[in-house]
Amino acid sequence: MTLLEAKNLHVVLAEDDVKILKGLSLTIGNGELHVIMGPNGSGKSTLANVLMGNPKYRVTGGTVKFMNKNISRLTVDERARMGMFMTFQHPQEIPGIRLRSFLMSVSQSTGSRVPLLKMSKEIDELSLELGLESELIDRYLNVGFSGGEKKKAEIVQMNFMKPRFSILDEIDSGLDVDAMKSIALSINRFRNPENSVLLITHYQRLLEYVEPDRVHILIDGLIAMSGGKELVREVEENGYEAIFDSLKGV
Amino acid sequence: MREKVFLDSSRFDFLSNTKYRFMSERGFGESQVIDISKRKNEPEWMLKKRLQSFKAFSLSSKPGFGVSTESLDLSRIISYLGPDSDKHRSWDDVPQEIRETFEKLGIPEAERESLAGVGAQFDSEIVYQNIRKELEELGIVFLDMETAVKKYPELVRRFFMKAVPPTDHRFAALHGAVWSGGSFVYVPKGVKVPLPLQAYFRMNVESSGQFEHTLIIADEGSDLQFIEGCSAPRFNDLNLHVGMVEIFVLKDAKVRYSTIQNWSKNTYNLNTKRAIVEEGGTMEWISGSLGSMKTMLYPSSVLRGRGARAEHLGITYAGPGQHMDTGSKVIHLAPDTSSLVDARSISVGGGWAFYRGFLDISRSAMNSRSSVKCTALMIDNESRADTVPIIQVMNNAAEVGHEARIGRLGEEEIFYLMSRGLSESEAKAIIVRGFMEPVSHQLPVEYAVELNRLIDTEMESSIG
Amino acid sequence: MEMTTELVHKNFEMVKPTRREELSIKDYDNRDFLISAEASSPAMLAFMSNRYSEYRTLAFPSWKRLKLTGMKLPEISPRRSLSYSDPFVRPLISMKSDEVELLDKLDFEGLDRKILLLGDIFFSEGSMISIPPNKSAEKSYSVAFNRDSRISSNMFVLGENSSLKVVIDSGRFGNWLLQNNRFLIKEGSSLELLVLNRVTERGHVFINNLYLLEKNAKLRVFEVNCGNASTAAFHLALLEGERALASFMPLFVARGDTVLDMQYVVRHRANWSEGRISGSGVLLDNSRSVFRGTIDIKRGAKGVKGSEYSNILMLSESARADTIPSLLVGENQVDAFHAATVGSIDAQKLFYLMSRGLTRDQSMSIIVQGKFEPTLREIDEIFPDHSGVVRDEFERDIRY
Repeated sequence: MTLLEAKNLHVVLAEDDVKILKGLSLTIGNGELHVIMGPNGSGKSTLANVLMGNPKYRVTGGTVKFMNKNISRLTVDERARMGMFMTFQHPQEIPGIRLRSFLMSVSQSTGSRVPLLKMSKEIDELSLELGLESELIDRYLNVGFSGGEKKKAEIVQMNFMKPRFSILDEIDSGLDVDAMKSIALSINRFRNPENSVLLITHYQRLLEYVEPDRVHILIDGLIAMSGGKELVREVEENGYEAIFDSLKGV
Repeated sequence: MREKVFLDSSRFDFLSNTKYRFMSERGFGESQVIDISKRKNEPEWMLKKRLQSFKAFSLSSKPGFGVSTESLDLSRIISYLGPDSDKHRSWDDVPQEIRETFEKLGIPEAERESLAGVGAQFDSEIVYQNIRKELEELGIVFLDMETAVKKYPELVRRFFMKAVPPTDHRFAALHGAVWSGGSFVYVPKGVKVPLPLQAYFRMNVESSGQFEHTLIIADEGSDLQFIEGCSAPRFNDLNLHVGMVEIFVLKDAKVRYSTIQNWSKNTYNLNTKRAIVEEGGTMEWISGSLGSMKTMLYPSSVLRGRGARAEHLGITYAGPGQHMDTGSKVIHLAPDTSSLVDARSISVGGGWAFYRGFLDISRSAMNSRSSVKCTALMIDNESRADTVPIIQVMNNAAEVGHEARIGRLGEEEIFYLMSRGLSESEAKAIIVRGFMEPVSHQLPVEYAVELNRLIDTEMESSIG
Repeated sequence: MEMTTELVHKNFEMVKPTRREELSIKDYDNRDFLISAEASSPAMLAFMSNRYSEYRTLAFPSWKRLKLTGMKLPEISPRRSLSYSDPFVRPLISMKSDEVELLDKLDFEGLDRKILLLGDIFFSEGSMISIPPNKSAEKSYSVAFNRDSRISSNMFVLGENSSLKVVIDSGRFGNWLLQNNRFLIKEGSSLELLVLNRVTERGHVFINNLYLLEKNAKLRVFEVNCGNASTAAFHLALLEGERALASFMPLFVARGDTVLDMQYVVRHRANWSEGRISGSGVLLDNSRSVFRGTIDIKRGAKGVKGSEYSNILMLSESARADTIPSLLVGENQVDAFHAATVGSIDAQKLFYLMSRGLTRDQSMSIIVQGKFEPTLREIDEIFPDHSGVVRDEFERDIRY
């Protein structure tokens, strides 16, 4: 069953109308993990942000459906409450609210009735699993966290909120091998037949630990090629240039 | 036009129909000043001080800066009221009518246990005081100002209006002539007051002025926290608040004075707060200015002794119809002194938050350090925020740093929080609360909660 | 007329301080006016008469820091007729009505209305410099003073997409100088200005500069104050066109009993405009400085970036530095920031240099020099003919 369907998506930067996505189409089914790879500037982060509803970008053509519902007019929080989630490439520092209380108030605001104590315990367990220092949970949201700690905290949030559809925007950038392994393990544990993941990655290393169902190469605002895991090795060995050339029939 | 709902002050919007023993004619004149003194059975020296102040007032001119006081007609303001009861020691002794008023205000009897003492101002006079035995045993004096004048004349005379003399400015002179009510605190040498002292006061009758005077003397090595919180019902006529707080921090003593001011939206709040800090002393001003129509408030610290220190933390909220001219004044007069100012403001719904800072490092304040930070958040595009700090340095062995930033809530932060399912107003409220946190953290819980509630309501109504 | 401070919001009023008057100064009279108005074009005569009527209603201001008590105004003598070889330069006194209209439009308060008007009426030397569109002036224009021209009024019009460099050099002599300079920087054009105030005589120097920037216009002003005269300098940049950019980089060294009163106002009225004020100074002996930097963002000017930095080094016990960095913001989609520091030489740095064998004075010179070096280098690049003069001033002995 299709969870997310993007058809012929055209996206520009709201500020100056520069075209970024030029007719992108993508279908993701339940329980699937798709990977998006591509050179810098291809529009990977834009895709993530547009799916999530970042007002920085404007959709000028095409549609996006989530659980068969057209979400183009929904605000970001409405999409979040439908079950979409994104780990940010550069998680924002929000002084004045602690990670723990933040998660608990978000949970309550989305109607959860789980008792506070249980929620709090779950947060502790999740951070333990990821190797995130427990004292960070009681610090202000992302303030003073290292790059790796910020990414781990994003994953803790994801595991706690249990979204239907999770977009991981370059979760692997800036991580050391151990952190990457913990996060990969967490992603794998998170997956089930009902939820799906869209993994946007710059490096291929993470894919040694995570098994994708489908891999897409994004070049210049369009999905240039889709395939299985073998595509990853091709990119690793020959680079994006080669793929590009092969498309042009060189 | 959207109806804006701000702080729910209906809890206080009632007029108690208590009888008043005396109601002075509207307006100010010398005869009135003498009347006030007579009514209070004051000693001769205090009457003299009042008359001196009145003289200064008649010679003074309107301030050359700040909010406009054009629509303030002093002659129409009743200056003195005395409610129908004398000062009492225990809650049970307070007349029924007045007890009811307090109950409506939400000050339950149970609170007596957790409070060291409550001086409640009821229309210019202290009605109810309760000082716990422990405080008395420690030698701490916590009385209403008027009793203190009679009971501790030497002490009061030595310090009263010495930090802010009547000639300081027009409203100081006004205050000196008609002051009424307020708290007096004396903490003996080396004593640490076990609990924060609190005082409530409110204004009642239409056009009543509030001229309470709080005088705090922290003797050498003592440590004290004082919390001042106030609210007033809404009226049609002009409300005026010209209070004064004078704090003397003696050698190595420490005083923290927290205020949350939430006068009704038609009040003129022209308050003077000043602390004189001696050698090794520390003064902390924590201020939350939320209410009133026009405010001029610049808590000041005069660092007179070597190594003296001041910390000013403040939050100013300027909502619809509010013109807040607030800031800090720190004067370094001695070597090795240091100061820290963290002033934050929020303007929304057409409000105007104007920060006026004054930092003076005198010739003799060698090796002094000062760091000032002002941040202003403009929630929407209807409002205004300005910062105009004046920094004067007169020696070459001082380090002064000043920083200010004005802007709006970050788009990226809002998007991030919304991506976790929070609505736009919830996201904004969280960011704003985070912005205020360093200050609200220092306030007593009820006030912090009130502050947050106000912000939440504000955020909701400002989206649209 | 462009007011310097306009603090108003909706129907709130802000109380303005009253202007105090200095009555000890012997003012000019009608005779002086007639001398000034000689040989003026009809349009200029009308302009000057108008201004003169206003002038007469005002007294000189009484200032808190820079005292004008007993100030002697220079004598008004008949204007020298100069020949202008440059096709872009014309005498101000003989401007035609459309040019005078522009002069009239570019009206502002300046340091004080009285002083600005004085310059507009009693100037002994004044030029209108008009650069045609798309022209990039090869050499920098010098507005130099000589002993006889104490009062100068100039108007510069930079045509679209043109560029110009201007140097205003006070020279070392003279004890009373006043300049009014107006700059209209049209769309896409760029102006680089060096104002050098190095009068060695004790006296008064006044500068009133107004800059109007249209869309995409660029302005860079370097101001070097290193003389012994009491100086009051006023600069107001109006960013009226989108993406206009203005930056002010004042440097100063004050010695003796000098008083320097410097004011820089960047007023943003257009989207995406950028303003920057970045000043450094050193105070010695009994000198005194007032550094006022104001970033004023008007409602509707979205995406504005305004920043202000000031860094002052106090090298003597009896010097005094006043700094008033203001941010006035009426538009919330902006980023307005300022940082000001006042301090003395870092003892650790001094120790480090001296431990390498340098004397105290040498070490201090190096440290102070270091502060100014980035700006001095920019001046080297943009105004190579004048940077020598500037550097000389800063290399003079700086004693603790």
